[in-house]
Amino acid sequence: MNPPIDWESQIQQLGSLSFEMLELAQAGEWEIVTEREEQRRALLDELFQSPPPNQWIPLFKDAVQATLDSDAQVQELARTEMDKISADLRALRQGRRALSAYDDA
Amino acid sequence: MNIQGSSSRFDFRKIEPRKVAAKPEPAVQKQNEPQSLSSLLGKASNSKLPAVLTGVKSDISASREAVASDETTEADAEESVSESAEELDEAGDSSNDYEPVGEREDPDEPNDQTEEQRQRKGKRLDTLETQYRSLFLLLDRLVDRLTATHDFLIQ
Repeated sequence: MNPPIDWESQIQQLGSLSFEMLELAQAGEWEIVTEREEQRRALLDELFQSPPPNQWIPLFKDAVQATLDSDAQVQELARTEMDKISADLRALRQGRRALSAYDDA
Repeated sequence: MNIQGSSSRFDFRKIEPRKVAAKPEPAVQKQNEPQSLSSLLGKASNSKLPAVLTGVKSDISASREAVASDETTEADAEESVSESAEELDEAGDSSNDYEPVGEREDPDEPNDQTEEQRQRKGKRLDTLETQYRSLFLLLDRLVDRLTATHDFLIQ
């Protein structure tokens, strides 16, 4: 039998994990963002196994909305970073072609 | 003037040449003065162009030149300057000169160095590209997971 969920603590942890992910994304710490996302995913699975008690529903809704908002920013940051990496990879390939052409000459 | 006597027949052989010999500095300065490209090209086959006259150079050749200049000590450089007052193009004096392409004494060794540098540069670029690709894949997976979480939460 699963132990009873400490809703308040778990909901607060959901909010703090989501906020931490946004801060880490802004700092470019993408590997840690991924780790935190895995932790948060496990937490969400646990939280959604059963409906929350009525008293925690407003807090839970706020935490979910905060998670959606911060995730939207994290996704935007991630896509921006991916665009930059794509540009860097293109520049790298062009540089390699130039180097190769120089060597062949 | 160093003319001795006052006879009507002037003897040029008695002009003292010491004023010319008393200044060795111009010979040293001569090396630092700008020289024409044609005069430098007209020197012996082991003469080397100054870097300022060679125009744009590649990274590889610039690196090779940097390595060569690092190997020359400051003492050697000072010595070569003083010695070059008598002999500007002494063999082995490469401290202040640039080696033009195609006029190397031993072409095999620099080619080996160039090949090594090329391989090192290639490895660095490989590593960099791998890192970029890894990060891109990481971000791609993260975006997918965040999208899945978003879809799950808005159900």
